[in-house]
Order: sequence, then C-alpha cells, then structure tokens
Amino acid sequence: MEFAGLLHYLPAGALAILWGLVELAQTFESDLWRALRSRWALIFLAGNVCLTGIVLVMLDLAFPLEPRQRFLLGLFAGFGWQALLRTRIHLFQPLGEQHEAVAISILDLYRRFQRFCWRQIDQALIAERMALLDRASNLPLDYLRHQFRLHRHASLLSDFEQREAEFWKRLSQLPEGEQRLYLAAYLLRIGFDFLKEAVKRAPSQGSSVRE
Amino acid sequence: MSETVLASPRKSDPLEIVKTLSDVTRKLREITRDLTTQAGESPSAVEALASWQLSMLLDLHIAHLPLAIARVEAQASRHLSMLHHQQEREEARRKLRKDILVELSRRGRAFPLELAAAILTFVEDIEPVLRALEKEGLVRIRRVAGTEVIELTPRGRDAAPHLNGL
Repeated sequence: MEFAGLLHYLPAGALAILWGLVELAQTFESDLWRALRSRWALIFLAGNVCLTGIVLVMLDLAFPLEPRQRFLLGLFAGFGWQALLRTRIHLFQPLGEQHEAVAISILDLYRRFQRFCWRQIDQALIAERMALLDRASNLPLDYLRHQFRLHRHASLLSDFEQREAEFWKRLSQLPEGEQRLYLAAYLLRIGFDFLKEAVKRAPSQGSSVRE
Repeated sequence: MSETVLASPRKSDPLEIVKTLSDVTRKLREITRDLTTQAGESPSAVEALASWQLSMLLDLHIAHLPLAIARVEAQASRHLSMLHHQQEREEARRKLRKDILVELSRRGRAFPLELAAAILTFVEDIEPVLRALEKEGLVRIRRVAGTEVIELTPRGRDAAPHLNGL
C-alpha cells in the first residue's frame, strides 16, 4: 500500500492520543504533569493509538473506500470508535451478534489495559511521593519548622487559625521524628515540586536555621 | 398514736430525699388529724406531742432540703457540662469533616498523614471521621504501593463545593 493510502491513520492516531490525554487528565488531575512523565502514561497512549489502528485496519478491510472517504473513516475511527468505546455496550447491538461479540472483547481488553496502566501510574506517583516525604522527614527540624511558618505567614488563606496553636502544642509533645514527618507532610501537601525545592535548598543535617 | 417518719433517705439519691419529704408532709397531715380527735381527752398531752412532732418534722425539712437542692443542682450542672462537651465534640467533628472534604477537593488525593497535617491536626483525629465519610460514600480509601490513599468519590466531589460555599 502507498504512503498516501495510509494518511488517514494520522488523524485517527492524533485523536486517539487526544482521548488518552483527556482520560489521563481526568484521572490524575492533581498530579497530571508527573503522571504524563511516567512511562506507563506513554504506554497507555501508545496502546490507545494501536487499538485505534487495529480498528481502522479492520474497517479498511471491511469497507474498501476512496481516499477522501478513507480520511473520513480515519476521523470516525479516531473519534467515533473512541467515543463508542467509552459508552455502553448496547450501542454495538445493531451490528449483529458476531460483530457485537468482537466489540465486547475489544472493549473488555481496553478496560483491562487501561486499569493496568492506571494502577502502574498510580503506584509510580505514590512511590515517588513517599520517597520525597521520606527524604524531607530527615531534614533538620528547625528548617522544617521555618518552612512551615514561612508558608503560613506568606499565605493569604490563613485556614485553620484556631487549630494552629493546639497543633503546635500537641506536635511538640511528639518524638522528633514524628514532628519532622508531620511538618514534611504539610509541605508536601503544598506541592510536590515545592517540597522538592525545599529539600534541595535545605542545609545539611546538623546546621540550624534561624527562626 | 400516729407513726413517725424517721427513715433517713439514701444520701446519694436526691429523689429519695424528695420522696421522704413528701412522706413527712403526708404524716404531718395524719398527725394533725389525730391531734384534733384526741384534743378533748388530754389537752396538755396532745399539745406536748404536737410540739414534739412538729419540731421533729421541721428539723427533718431543714436538714434535708438544702442537701437535696444542692445535689439536684450538682447533678443538673454535671448533665449540662456533659451536654456542652458533647456539643463541642460534635461541632469539632463536623468542622473536621468539612475541612477534609474541602482539602481533598482543593488539592486532590492524599495519604492520611498528609491530610492530617494539611488541616493542622493528627492522624488519630481524622481516622474516625474518614471511616464515617467512607461509610457515607463520600471518600474512598485505597491501598496503593503499600500505603493508604484517600480520595473523593464522585458523590464527595459534588458535596465538597457546597460545604465551602465555592
């Protein structure tokens, strides 16, 4: 087959990537950039493109069309197929029993593949967060206190003011390791990159930070 | 001669004291009736008996009333204080529940430690609230990479903006 005959695979692939990105954005809203950097996100997007390609090959074989019509078929496969994939299975019923059976198995395959990728991305993100929290909880206590207070004073949204005094009182009664964990967890909640920067800028263990 | 009411009430039960005082009053009425019937036989004896009975009854009233009042007051104060603490605990729990939902809605899923630190409290404080929220179907607690991760369910996502007036 000539290269021109394969051009309609491009819009189909582009739409498959777009659909995949939308799904990733919806699922990993708070950690989107880190999720996209994960290799499992790339595998998911590649899988999406492959699946759309397979569907388009099947359609190409079933309906030999003119080049212009093939372009529309490419759009249909990229957009329509993905839309059908995400809706209820009864939409496939008019195609007949044999086709429906194929559609169900592809849908099932897609769902399993998607769930697997989600789990892998999730685990990678959580493991990364845990590792950063672990590193941050080894920083000097004074430095963490300083960062915490800096953020509290700098923040326009002074939430939980009534609880803050009680928090400090109870925190000071905990062992030092736990105090560091709580303060690091607070900073992690501000943002992964925020804490990462704080860890980078941190003085080495032993030196103190003026409060 | 009429019987006297000398049974001492149990010190710990104000209701018993009130009951005894009521018995005393009833007996006082009976004595008055007896004295009236006996007045014709020996006026001086009746007068002495009446005087003795009355002084005894007055002593009983005077001795027990302040005690009963003090006990009732102390119990009422204890109940009020317990009620007040219960209301405070309930209020704190409601506030915590709202803060958890709003925080998860603002910044997404979190570890229990992260969530507790973000709303300036401790894991042991948020744990019962999280279990309740999970039962209500507002949050989901999943195990990922060996740790618990808390996230809002679609129902929780719908509820959170209303809690914060967003």
